[in-house]
Amino acid sequence: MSRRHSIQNIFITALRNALTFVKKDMKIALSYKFQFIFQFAQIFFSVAMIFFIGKMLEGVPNKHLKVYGGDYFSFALIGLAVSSYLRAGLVTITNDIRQMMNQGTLEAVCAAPVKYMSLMIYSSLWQFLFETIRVSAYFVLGFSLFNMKLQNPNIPAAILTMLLTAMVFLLLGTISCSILIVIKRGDPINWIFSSLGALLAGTMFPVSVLPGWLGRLAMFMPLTHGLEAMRKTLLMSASVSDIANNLIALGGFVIFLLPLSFYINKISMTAAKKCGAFATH
Amino acid sequence: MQTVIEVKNIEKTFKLNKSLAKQFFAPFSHWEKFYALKNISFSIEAGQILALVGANGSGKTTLIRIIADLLLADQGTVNIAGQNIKSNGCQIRKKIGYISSDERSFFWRLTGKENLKFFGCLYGLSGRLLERRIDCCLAEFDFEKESRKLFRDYSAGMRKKLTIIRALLHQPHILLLDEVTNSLDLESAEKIKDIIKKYICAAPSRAAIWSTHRFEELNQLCEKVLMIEQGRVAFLGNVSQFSYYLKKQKQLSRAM
Repeated sequence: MSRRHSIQNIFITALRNALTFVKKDMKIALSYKFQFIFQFAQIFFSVAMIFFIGKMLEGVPNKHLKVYGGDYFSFALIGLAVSSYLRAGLVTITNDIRQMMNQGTLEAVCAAPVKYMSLMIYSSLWQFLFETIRVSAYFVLGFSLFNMKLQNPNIPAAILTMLLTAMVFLLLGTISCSILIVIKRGDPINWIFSSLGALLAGTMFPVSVLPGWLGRLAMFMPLTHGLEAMRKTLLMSASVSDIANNLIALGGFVIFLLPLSFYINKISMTAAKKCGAFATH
Repeated sequence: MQTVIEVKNIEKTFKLNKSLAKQFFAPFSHWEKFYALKNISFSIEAGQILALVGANGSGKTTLIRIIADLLLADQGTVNIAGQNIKSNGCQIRKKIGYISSDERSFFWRLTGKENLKFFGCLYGLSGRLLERRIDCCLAEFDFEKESRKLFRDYSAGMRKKLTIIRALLHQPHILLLDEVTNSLDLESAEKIKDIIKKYICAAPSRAAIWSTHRFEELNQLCEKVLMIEQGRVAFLGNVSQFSYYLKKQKQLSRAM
């Protein structure tokens, strides 16, 4: 077989496996009908809550918010929407893996001829897809019911930012899952990036509000850069060069996390195989 | 004859929590080594079914999971069709059909057929070929009707059958069967033994390891027997030699 053919085969197999996982996870998600409906209903309540907080702050001049156009509702809604990728990358995927461990499915999946790293990535695809739908729902609701306004948004730059942010969280998610398979509960990566990240990255408030040293620490959180770039592109029509610093930071996280995630996955899976962790929880 | 599985000097230890008394005398180490397998060597030729027997906790499942590439041995090598499992794990897993003693290993909110489609895809099957294989296996096990039910509604026996169907879908060279007849009624157990025997005989490069507690299954199915006691090989030979070995062991225990 020629090299081109074998690469084509690898690509087709990967795509087929990815679709198989997405289909399986979608069917399972839809089988919990109430949870599925409530997840969307919850978006309405979150958006409404931010809208009323925004109403309360309307007309109050704020130097921290001014950088982002001054409208708190749009500012916080973008924060909430983008940070839901963090939830998909770290919380939901690790919950899924934990459920597979408890159910005993993980061992059967690991017995299949698929690379473990690929298994982790495939397992997370549905969550990212679902979060993308949820993020869209945040914006649709914001525009249609709550009069959200974006000033000449730079959509291509926003999509680029979103893709980079999602990639960072996908890699963090695979690291988190790899560790979880060995240690079972209390994964430190998850804690640092989901709990600490949500506070430091400024989901609901500008990072400039934080005291100096905390603000500097926030720069080490990928969500900080994702949020800032998204807000600047959607609210201030910033160009790619305007958000270059954030994009470089996100790109840096990808470059740093890509080999690290493969390495941690390899050593975690070896450790799991040594102690028989696929079949225990 | 072609050697399909070759296991050489396998050793496996697990870390166990020390008892309080032992921790008192050696307070800086909380673990002690427990030998699950020690110096296990054997080989299986094409067309053979090896019976793996031994008491509970003797190390049968540990050995099967090492061969299935789900557990890493501390020492020794496992070669499947001439390939080393340590360096070719992913490729070798394609050749293996593993039937674990755990029947829960499916997605409970999917139907039996949906589960089979998912696992079939992971083993590289797709489209019409996958559909055909699933239909063929379901018909052979008389499981078409049940395959439309959700997995969560299955009885233990039905779960076991689905586990066997899953392992046969990709037509593996090697079957690893861990206490496969445990939750099955007599009729189903007989049927499955027939299917497995036919499956192994159907192609020249196939072989199986059949872990069991039921000695009557040895005569029906297996050519070779490996008995493990406390992680060590207690007996390795053919079935008639094993019957003689058992008789001798009984006589010895009576004499004592």
